[in-house]
Amino acid sequence: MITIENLHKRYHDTEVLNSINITIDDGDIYGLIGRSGAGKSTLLRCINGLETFQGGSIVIDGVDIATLHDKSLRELRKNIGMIFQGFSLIDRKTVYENIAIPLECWHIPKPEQKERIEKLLKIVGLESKRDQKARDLSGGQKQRVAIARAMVMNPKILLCDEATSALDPKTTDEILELLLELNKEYGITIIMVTHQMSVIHRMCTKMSILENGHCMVSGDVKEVFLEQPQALQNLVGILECNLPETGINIEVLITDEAVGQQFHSDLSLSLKKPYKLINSSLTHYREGVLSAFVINVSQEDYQDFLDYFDANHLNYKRIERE
Amino acid sequence: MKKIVMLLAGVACSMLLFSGCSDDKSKTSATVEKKSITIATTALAMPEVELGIEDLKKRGYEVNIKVLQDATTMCKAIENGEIDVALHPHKPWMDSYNSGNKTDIAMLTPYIHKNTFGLFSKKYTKADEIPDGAKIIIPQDESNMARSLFMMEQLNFIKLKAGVTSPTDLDIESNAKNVKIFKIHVHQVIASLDDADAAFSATLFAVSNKLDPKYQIATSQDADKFGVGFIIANKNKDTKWAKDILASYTTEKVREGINVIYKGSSIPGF
Amino acid sequence: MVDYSWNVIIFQIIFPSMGVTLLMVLCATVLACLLGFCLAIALFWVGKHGLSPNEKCYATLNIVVSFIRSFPFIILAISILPITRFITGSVIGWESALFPLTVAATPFMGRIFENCFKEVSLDLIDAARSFGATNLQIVFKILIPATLPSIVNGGVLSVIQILSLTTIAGTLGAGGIGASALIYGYQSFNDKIMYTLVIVLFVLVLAIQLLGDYVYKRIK
Repeated sequence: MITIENLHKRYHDTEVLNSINITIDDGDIYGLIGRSGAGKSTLLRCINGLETFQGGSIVIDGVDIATLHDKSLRELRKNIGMIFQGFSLIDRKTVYENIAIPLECWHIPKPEQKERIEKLLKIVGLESKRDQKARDLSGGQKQRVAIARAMVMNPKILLCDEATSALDPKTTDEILELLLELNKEYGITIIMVTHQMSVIHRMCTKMSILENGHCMVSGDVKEVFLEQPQALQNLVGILECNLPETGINIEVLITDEAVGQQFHSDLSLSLKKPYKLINSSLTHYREGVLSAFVINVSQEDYQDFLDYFDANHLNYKRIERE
Repeated sequence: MKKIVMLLAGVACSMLLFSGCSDDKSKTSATVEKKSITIATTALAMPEVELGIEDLKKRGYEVNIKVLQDATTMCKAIENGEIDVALHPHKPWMDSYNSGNKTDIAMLTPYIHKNTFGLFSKKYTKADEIPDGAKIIIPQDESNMARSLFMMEQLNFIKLKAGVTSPTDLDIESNAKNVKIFKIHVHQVIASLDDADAAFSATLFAVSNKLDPKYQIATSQDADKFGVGFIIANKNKDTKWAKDILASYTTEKVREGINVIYKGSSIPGF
Repeated sequence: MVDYSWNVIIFQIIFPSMGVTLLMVLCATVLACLLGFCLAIALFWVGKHGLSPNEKCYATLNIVVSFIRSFPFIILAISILPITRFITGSVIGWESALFPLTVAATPFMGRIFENCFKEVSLDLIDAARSFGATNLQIVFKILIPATLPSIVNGGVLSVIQILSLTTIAGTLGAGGIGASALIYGYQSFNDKIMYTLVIVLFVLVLAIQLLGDYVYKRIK
């Protein structure tokens, strides 16, 4: 378990992280999302001590990492793998040699090295590329090598810093699939820093939204999307439709896929009141689909619609024109 | 091998052609009456050149002084007509420059000064004390090397091949004392004296390195051959202004000046 | 000017000088490589994006390196004569010339190697840190393996630089091809010897470059 409490970090005079409080449970896939410069990468790098911080604490499995130095810090890092946007491989070395570097650093005997590396090559699907040089690989393959290298010390936590940002959508999917598999298979905790909402949808159980060094929202991905906090709207610009000037606009969010599919027919059949459909969207995320509808109703009918939504336990919100 | 020789011959030929080109650039100035004279010298010989300027001005010339790095530069400048005369190289050097570059630069006589040359040692007080197999430093430029080798021959250290006018260490026929020769830049010879048994050098460098005169254990008898005079384009050597320069620099004042300036390492040449 | 025969030129000038030149270049390269390497590591270690940044240390090293590099070699060699004598027991001969050669070549190599290390992406170093590598392990298992081809290229530059420095070292009594070109060629107005020796130097430079290129291709 990782507990981040009241974390503060400054570069010279600028606060880059301000009162961050986050708890990450074992086996979670935790998303940290925000615009560039929001502090999400910095926060990630504080977790394995690549960055220091001035205030607050990070406790990993009962160990306050601020108390660690040199040897003990490296021991901690041994249990935390990390992958990067740019893959960070030694291009002129082979796949095998790249994955072997952490093992070399920790003086693991050669036969055991071979065993571990070959097992990982199988997991990441690069058995046939074992002796190819890293520079001859595609981006997706390079990231697979980086994942294998990060996993080779059998870490409990994997930090991913924009790990799929340099990849095309199809390759991104494959890499995310691999990470999900690792999480499922080995129960490894994954913390993903990303600016792509799709990554959060697809992967994460919990998320935090960072804005200018502040943690604006934290919670279950599903709940955050249901609540549609301002920070999320800032991030995705959810209201990209033109709202009509007359009448009242209501946004309805539905997490049950079946309910979402039936929404319009149920609404018109039960209520028999006219409404305009302004916008509708479906978002696939890890545990299902989020349907979002924006409808426009007249002033007189407004209360009837609200009663209907309440009776059917639907999540709704009145939205105003800007 | 043959190909390399041919290639080299080609390169050498083109170099000769190049150096031949620049000979006849400034033939105009000789006939008109000359009012301005440009003298080149090194920083080291500057005080000597200054001794005659006043007298030369009294003869109605405007005098310009140029400080140049080395004798080769001076010769090139004379060939190009950028300077009129220069005071720095000695006669044997001038001769070998002329023969090596097929140039025609004359040295005015009488000489202004003569460089003395000697054997220096901090370990021995006489030349014949120097043991077999001794480490001996000689300057590496052609004329000083030649002078050292001739002096070594006089001292019976070595025997040179007969008839070589400007020998290098490759012209040693026999090395009776089996001395080990180190060729070092002329400015560094005295500074390296501690690391050898003896060194040959112009006395001038011993003085400029503030070496105690007692370490000069032998003096070459050949000072007359190594006179330093004004060098000048051959076509100008009989002009009136050339004669005026000579007249201004062979006065009693210059003689006394040379004795003071060089403290015996160079002696007046007139 | 004495017109020496090819026999003399080849057996009395080129062969002995070549031996001295090769020995001098080889020894000076080994020494300057080792020291330059340490210097480069030190520069990189305390540099801005280094393993343990230390502004003051870096500034000091930087000034020392630039100071030595600003010296024309001949002046450097003459200025450190007393140190040369103290260390090598003499100031003449090629063994003594190794000292000023090494002093002059070390900062040059240090800079070249430092620039090689700077090519390494900071993420790669972070990656190494992230799996618990020590700073020394980062140097030997990441920096050097990642930049080995550039290091070889830089090394070739340095060797050729040292070769040209040996010419100047020759004026201080070290001998060698360059010095012979000056003594028997330039200073004796003997173009034949001068250009022959320049061609010998050219062949030497070419050989070093080709060897370097070959090694570069092999390890890339």
